Amino acid sequence: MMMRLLFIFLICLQAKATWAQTSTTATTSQSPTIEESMTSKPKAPPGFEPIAGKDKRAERVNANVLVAVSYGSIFTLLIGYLFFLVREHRRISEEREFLRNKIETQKSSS
Amino acid sequence: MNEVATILKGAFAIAQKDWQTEFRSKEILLTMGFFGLLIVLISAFAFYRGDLPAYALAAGSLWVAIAYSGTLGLGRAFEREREGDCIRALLLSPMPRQAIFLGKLLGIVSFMFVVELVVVPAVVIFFNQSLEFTQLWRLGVIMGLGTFGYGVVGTALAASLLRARTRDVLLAIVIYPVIVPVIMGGVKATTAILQPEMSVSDFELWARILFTFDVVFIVVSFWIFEPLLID
Amino acid sequence: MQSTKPESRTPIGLWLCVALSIGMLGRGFWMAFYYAPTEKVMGFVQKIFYFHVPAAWIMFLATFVCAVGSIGYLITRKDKWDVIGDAAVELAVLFGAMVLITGPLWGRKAWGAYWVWDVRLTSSLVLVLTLVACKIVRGYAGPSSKQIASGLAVFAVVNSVFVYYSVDIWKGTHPPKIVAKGDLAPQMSETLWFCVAAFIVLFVTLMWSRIRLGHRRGELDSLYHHAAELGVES
Repeated sequence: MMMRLLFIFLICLQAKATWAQTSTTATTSQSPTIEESMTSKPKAPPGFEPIAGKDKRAERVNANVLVAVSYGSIFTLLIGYLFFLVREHRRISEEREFLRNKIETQKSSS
Repeated sequence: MNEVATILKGAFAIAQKDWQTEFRSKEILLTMGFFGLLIVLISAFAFYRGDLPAYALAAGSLWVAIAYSGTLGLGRAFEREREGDCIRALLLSPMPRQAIFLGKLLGIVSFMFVVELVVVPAVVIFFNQSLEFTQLWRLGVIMGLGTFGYGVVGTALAASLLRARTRDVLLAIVIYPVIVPVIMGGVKATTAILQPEMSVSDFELWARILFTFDVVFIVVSFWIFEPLLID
Repeated sequence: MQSTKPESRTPIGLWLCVALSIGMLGRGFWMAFYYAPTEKVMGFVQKIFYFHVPAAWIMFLATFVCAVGSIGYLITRKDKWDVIGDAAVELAVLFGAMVLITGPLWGRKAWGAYWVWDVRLTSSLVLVLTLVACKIVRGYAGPSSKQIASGLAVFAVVNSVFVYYSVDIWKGTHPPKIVAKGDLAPQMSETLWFCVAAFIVLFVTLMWSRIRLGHRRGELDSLYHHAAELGVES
């Protein structure tokens, strides 16, 4: 019963989203060509006057965060790789020891 | 000169074997051709809007179709050599290894050319392009150079994967990074040809790059083929 | 053949290299933030440069060593060359990952976007993808994986030149090569070259350790064969 209710709820959500989309009046025939859509700056609508000054989008990203993430990722990768090397060396030592003991046991019993 | 003649004779014999097999079964051509067509169709649905000129999109779609259908054909062509252990027979024969490489290369490249005879018109039609003679012969040159470059790399790598496990998946993984310059050059040159004002300088630049790629990689592949193939 | 050597200890030279790497990396980090001045145009985000550029150079060095190892293996079929090639591929991927993470982060501030298909990042991406394919082949191709991976590594190295110049013609927005022209301020230049030296020492350390690991794996395989011959269940 709960699963049926869940399905009905999800179907209603989907129908609402689809109906909302089809009822918009935005035309799609004004979509830019492939070449235009590949440029970084979008076309300004008529009557738009840009604000003088720096690009606001660039100012929103904090340089400190970028630098911290960069150096953090470098050290994380290095430390991660070191852990991998140490773990592999240890694993090989253990397996060698195990195999040697087994071979010695086999030789002494035969 | 004698050695070159031996290699060419052997290569032609192997290519002829592939052509005869394919003429009887038509397996690779049909599957490659249909797959290439489907890729073009999917690209058209995925990216194209019918009321817009889309020469850049057409160029990209064409080379994606060639790359994917080429991988299919390579896999199948070498699978044939695995069946019945034909590759062992080829290696045991007194034929030089380079002849085997060249023969398989000729076979693959010829199959891809046939498939392109289907894919290129599909791209032209689906993406609403028009081709004049000056564009057509240039497109032929680019397709020739690009297909040959793809075939050279693909043949060497597909042969190396002959005895590998999971070779079907690995073939795509190993080929695509290496053929990036071919795809780049092919798409750029095709775009230069298809655009309303054809850019002859761009076409010539990328044709030269593709030619250099072909020359360098056929030398590398000739050298690397034997160590890759034998245990 | 069973090895009669006692369990191999880490050589003192390797410990010295580890200590030197840690010291030099720490010093380089300090110099990047406290010695080198802040760049006038890009500001604080330019500090990424001091580790990003050395990582890129070491990635190419590792790729070159990988090519040497691969060619050596294809010619001689001796495992020692394959061990070198395998180790170098891993390190090239490691340093390549550093380049591909730090590059876009720097680019976000410098170009306004994380990825703009510039020449050096794109060619690094293709190279790293090819080398990752080499590692995948080693893991999943079965008995002939060493040959295939070596052949692919040779293709990757030859291809890297093509990719670089192709992308350069295709599109290029990377910062101009100020390092080669000597346009860096003296303190910046010193910091950069010190970081390069630190990364070289780090590369040597990691290669040494990884090659040791490769050899030990080979010895372990021999021990398994010997055990199998004796009928020991392992």
